[in-house]
Amino acid sequence: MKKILVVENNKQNMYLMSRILKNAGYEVLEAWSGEESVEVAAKKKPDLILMDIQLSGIDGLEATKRIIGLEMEKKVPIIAVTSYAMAGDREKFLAAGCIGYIEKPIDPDTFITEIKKYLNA
Amino acid sequence: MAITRTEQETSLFELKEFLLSILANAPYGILALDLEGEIIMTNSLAIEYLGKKMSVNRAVGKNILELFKDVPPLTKTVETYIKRGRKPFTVPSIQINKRFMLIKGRLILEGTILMIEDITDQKIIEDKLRKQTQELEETNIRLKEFDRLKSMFLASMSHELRTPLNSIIGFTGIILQGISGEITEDQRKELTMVKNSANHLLELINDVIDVSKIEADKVELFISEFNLSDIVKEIRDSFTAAAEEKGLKMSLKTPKRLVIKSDKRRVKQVIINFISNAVKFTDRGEVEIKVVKKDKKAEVSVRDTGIGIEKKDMNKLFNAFSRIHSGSVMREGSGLGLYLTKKISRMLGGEVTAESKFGKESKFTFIVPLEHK
Repeated sequence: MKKILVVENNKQNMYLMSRILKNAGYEVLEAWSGEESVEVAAKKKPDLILMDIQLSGIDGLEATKRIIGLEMEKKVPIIAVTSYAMAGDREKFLAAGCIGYIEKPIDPDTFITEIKKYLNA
Repeated sequence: MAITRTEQETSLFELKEFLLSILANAPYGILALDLEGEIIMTNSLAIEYLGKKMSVNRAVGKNILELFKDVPPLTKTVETYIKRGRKPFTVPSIQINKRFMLIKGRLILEGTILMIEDITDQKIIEDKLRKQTQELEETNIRLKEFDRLKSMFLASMSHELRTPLNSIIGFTGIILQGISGEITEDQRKELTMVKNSANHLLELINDVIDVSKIEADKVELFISEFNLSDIVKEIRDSFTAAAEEKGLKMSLKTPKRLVIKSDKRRVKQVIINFISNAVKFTDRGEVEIKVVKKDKKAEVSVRDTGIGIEKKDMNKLFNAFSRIHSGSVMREGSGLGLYLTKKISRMLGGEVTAESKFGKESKFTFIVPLEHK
C-alpha cells in the first residue's frame, strides 16, 4: 500500500483529504506542522507528500526544502496544496522543490486522478 | 559743431533729471552706495521697502549702516558683502515689517547698487503651494496605506472565505461519490445543488481576487511555451458534460499543434470564461470553438446560438459589474468575468472582441500574440 503524507493544519481539510485517500486505498500519514512533516518524512519514508504552504511555524516551502535536504534513499515527490490566491506563487513552490501543485479547495472528483499522476511520475 | 559750456551743463542737468525720473519710477527699490556705504542715490521705494518714512533727499548722503541700524539683516549683509568682500550677492529673503524682500547687490565703479524687490505676494503663493504639496503628499501616503489595507483585507478575507468552502465542496463531493454510504436520488439532486452553489461562490471569490490583484498591478505573468490546441481541447472536455446536459452540440476546429509562448493559466482563464458564458447563455443549438493562427497571433473564437446581446449593451459588455439582463432568466455570475478577460488579454498583449445578433448568436474572440514580449 502506498503511503501518502498529508501536511495540513486545518482539521476539516485533513479529515477530507485523508478520507478520500483512504477510500482510494492509500495509507495516510498525518503531519500538522512543517516541523512535524520533516520528522514524519524522515521516519516513515512516504511515497508522496501533500504539502500545505500556509502553516504556522516553518511554512510549507521551508519544510519542503528541509525534506529534500534529508538524506533518503529514494527522493519523495512533494506536491504543494494551496489556495487560488497564492497560485501566482507557484514558481516559488517549484523553486523550493515541489514537483507540482494542487489548488484548494480540492475537488474530490479529480483529486485521486491527480494523485495517481504524481505517484506514477 | 562745438558744444558750449552752458550747453554742456544744461545737457548734464537734463541727463541727471532723466536718470532720477527713471529711478523714481523703477519698480524696484534702488540704492547706490559708495565704498563706505554712503547713499549716493536712491528712490522712495527703497526707503519704503526698508521700513523708513523719509524723503529721498534726506536719505542721500547718510551712511546705510547708520540709517538702517534697526534692520540688522540688512546691515549685516551690507557689512559682509560690501565692506569685506566686495562681491555681487543675493539675499533671497529678509523680513522687514512683516513683508519679505529680495535684495540683490551688484558692483559698480567705486560702489555698490542694491536692488530691493518686494516678494511678499510671491512668498505667500509659494508658501501656499508648499503647504498644498505637503498636504497632497500626506494624502498620497494615506491613500497608499488604504490601498495596502484594502489588498491585505481582500487577501485575508478571501483566504478566510475559502476555508469553509473547502469543507462544503469537499464533503458534498465525497457524499456524492458514495464514500460515506449510499444516497437516494433526491439527496443526490439536492447535494448537487449545494455543490454547484459552493462552486459558484468559489468562482465569485476568485474573480474578486483577480480583479483586486489586477487593479493593484500585482499580477505576475508566468510565460512558458505550450500547445494552445491541447489547452482548448482540455477546456472543451471539461464543458462536455454541462453542454450535454443542456442538449447543446459542441464542436472544435483547431490545428493539431499551435505552440504559443504566453501565460498558460491566464490564457486558460479567458477561454474558460468564453466557453462557460456560451454554455450558460445558450439553451438550444450549438457552441462552436475555433482556433486559428493569423500572422503572429493566435485567435480563439467561441460562437454560440444563444440569447445574443442587444446593440445598446455591446459597449458595456466588457465593463466591471455590468450584468446585462437579456432574456427573462437571471443567469448567475459576478459581473466580472468579461471585464477580467479584457484586462487579462491586454496584459498578454492581445485583445478580446465580441459580435452578436440579438436573439440569435454571439461570438467572442480572444486574440493573443504567439510570443509574449
